[in-house]
Amino acid sequence: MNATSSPTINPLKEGLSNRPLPRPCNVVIFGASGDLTYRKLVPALYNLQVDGDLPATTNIIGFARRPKSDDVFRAELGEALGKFSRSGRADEVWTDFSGRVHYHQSEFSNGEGYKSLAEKLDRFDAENGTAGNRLFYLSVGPNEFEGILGKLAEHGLNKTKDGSWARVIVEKPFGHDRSSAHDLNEKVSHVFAEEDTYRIDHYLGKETAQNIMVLRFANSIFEPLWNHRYIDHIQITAAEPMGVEARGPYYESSGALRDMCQNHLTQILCLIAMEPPTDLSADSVRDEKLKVVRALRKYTPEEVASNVVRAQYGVGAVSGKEVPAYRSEDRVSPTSETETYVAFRAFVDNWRWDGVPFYVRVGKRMPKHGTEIAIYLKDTPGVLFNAQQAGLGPNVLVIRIQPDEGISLRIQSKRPGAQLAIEPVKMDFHYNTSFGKPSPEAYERLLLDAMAGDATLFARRDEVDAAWTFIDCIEDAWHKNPNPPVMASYPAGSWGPKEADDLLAADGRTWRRL
Amino acid sequence: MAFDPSNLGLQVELNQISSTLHALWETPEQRTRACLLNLVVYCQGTQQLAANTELISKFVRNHACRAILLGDSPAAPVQKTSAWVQAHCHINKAGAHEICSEQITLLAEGLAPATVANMVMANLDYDLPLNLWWQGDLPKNTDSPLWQRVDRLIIDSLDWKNPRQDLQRLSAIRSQFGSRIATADLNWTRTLNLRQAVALSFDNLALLAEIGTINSLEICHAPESKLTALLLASWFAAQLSWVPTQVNPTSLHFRASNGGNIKCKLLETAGDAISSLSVNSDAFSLSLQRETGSCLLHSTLKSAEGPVQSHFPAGNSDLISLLTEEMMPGTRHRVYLKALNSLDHLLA
Repeated sequence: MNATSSPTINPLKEGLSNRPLPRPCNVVIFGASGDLTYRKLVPALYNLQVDGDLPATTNIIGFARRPKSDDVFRAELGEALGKFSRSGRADEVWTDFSGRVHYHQSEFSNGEGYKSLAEKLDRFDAENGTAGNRLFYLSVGPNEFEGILGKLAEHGLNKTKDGSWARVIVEKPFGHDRSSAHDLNEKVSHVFAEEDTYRIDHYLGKETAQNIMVLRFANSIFEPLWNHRYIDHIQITAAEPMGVEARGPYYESSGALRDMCQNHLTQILCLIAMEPPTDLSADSVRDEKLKVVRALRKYTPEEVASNVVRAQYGVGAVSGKEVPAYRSEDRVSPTSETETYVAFRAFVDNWRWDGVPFYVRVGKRMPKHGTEIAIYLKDTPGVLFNAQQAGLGPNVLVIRIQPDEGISLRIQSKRPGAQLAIEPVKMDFHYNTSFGKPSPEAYERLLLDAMAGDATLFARRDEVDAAWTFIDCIEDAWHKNPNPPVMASYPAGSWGPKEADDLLAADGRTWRRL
Repeated sequence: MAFDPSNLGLQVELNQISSTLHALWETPEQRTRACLLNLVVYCQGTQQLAANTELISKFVRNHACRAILLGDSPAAPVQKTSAWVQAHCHINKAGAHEICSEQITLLAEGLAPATVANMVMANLDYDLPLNLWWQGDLPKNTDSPLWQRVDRLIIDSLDWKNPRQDLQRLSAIRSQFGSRIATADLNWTRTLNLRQAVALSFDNLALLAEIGTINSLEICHAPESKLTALLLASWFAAQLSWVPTQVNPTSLHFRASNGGNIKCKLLETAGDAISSLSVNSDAFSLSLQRETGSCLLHSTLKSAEGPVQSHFPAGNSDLISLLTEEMMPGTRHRVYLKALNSLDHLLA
């Protein structure tokens, strides 16, 4: 067959689906022995197959150091699937899927491993019509990026031919600060063009995160109120009861600010604060998010002390179980100065958000798991009901990212009876109950988008760069300042240090209880 | 067979439906009422009420709704109305609240269409889209106010006793209501996975280059599923701009815009509605087969480069799966309407 006169549009695909339709490709996962592969990546690819979204001839190649046969790799993945796949494991689908899963053993620095990988991919292309389309997933530490990228380039695996594509997905952390992120971006850009580089932030793949734009721009009720005239303040919370578990060494070099705020929470803040994009293309959306990050007020070291609280958990109890202090965790320094909690007051210095504080907090060893955005509207005027009954709470719109994804709105309502008594009630929307079925996992959507070439839910280089500029101001004030702010502490299982409460109390506000 | 209303729930007076439903949700149990749409299921007489109740109880697991099941016996000698209400509840995950949807069953005997329509309209959940699943042949008259409220008409053209007449009636509905009513044909959805598999196969650029050289199709269909096969052939014709030139009971002939001739053989085979499809040209042969009960379509592409085997999801063809697929948002079916235009010429 001759492809030279190939029409560019496949007429048979018209109207078939409004879901992203990726081209058949080969997915290579570097670091395939890691937890992410077993818990998230392969279950996500499997569920895409269950839902009919995975191109039928897609091969999945796990690239890792440990010696292992295809069969052993498949058996391990099959077992993991039973635990981590939202749809469980159906034997017939698994038989077909696992037949296209392969293991490729090699050191990341071994050129021979890449040579044989290239041969394997060429063979799959010939057998399956995957046409040279390749998706490389770097599920490895950033210290491995340069070596892997260099070898991919050396063996021509980043090259495309005849309309095919080669893309790379990069896991966080994307750099340690602005300078290292810049270096990393440079290294990636020598091998993959920006449009082929997908910096993954799994928060953006969550249904509720995707729904923020729909909520704001597909409902006329909210947008007129979405500004400094009607919104008093916004609270963004990401709490988790877990400690650092086995990630002590990583966490020691990262901390809560870099681990969560530079990426996940900044992205969420952007979706809340951005202007409507001109269209839904990846760059239009990311252009608007970038404007928000650039408008984030950069603090001087003195301002950091009064606007940012850092803290570490001490001994305490979570879910009725005693847990050790952070400094007693496995492979954590007993004199560690790494924060496990951070709370800050941020301002987006533009017309829409003039003077509206965004309070952000993130912490480990909190009493419960939950990520949410709470939008507090301004009080009603102090006449009529507000004059009669002091302390009527404001309207609060809460967007729950996880768990129990959904949206609720707190409104005031008259309590039934002859007396005029007003009480807050909640209008509640739960994804699971309203749509009657659980949402897909974030990685499913993100992998599918990367295969389809849609980068909307991935961070662009300039976004990452701008986010680090904001974070570096805080990190520098903590670590390069002769008089750094104190490291507060909080008992494990509490909602954070007193200093964080004081941060809001100074503005006459309190943190929302989850 | 005597009418048995035992699975229809609690029998109530027509004017007590609303208050009885309210009472259902005032129980102290941990239950949440969920409702995203109205689903009105129209069937003739009482024979299908029990089976439709079973279908609704499964449907609401994926689509929380208020279901109104309407059994209509316009020719009954005595005018009579009966009503039942019930809740269908399920648990999404361990420890979660029960999620419940409501079903109202109405039996209308000897009533005029306008009266039946008023009964239904009085019980719709306000502000939610109305999906009307019309089972059997389409009505001649769609002037009742209910039709003015319909957002989506669900049909299964495989149930049509007189396809040519029903196609004309569907065309009349489209003329009367324009694009305001989206049409969802479950029989069209039966072909979805095959269409998807064929379309994805042509993502191969070398194969796409040969799409204009297709010279034959072969569709194996179950004896009762000829209309499904015709819909599939209509899709090819509509999307590839083929014009029908000859229609025989077991073969169709088309002419492509480049002047080429295409022959489509229709073969009756026991098994699934469509058990196999092959698309052929001088340059390639694409064959898709589904073994009975399998969840996969087995695909073989033969060309000068050698054979390539692959698999595609076959989907489920039970009514609930078809209905669930049809209820996906955004399915306005421009392509279906194009295929219907071709189908019109193929109904010999």
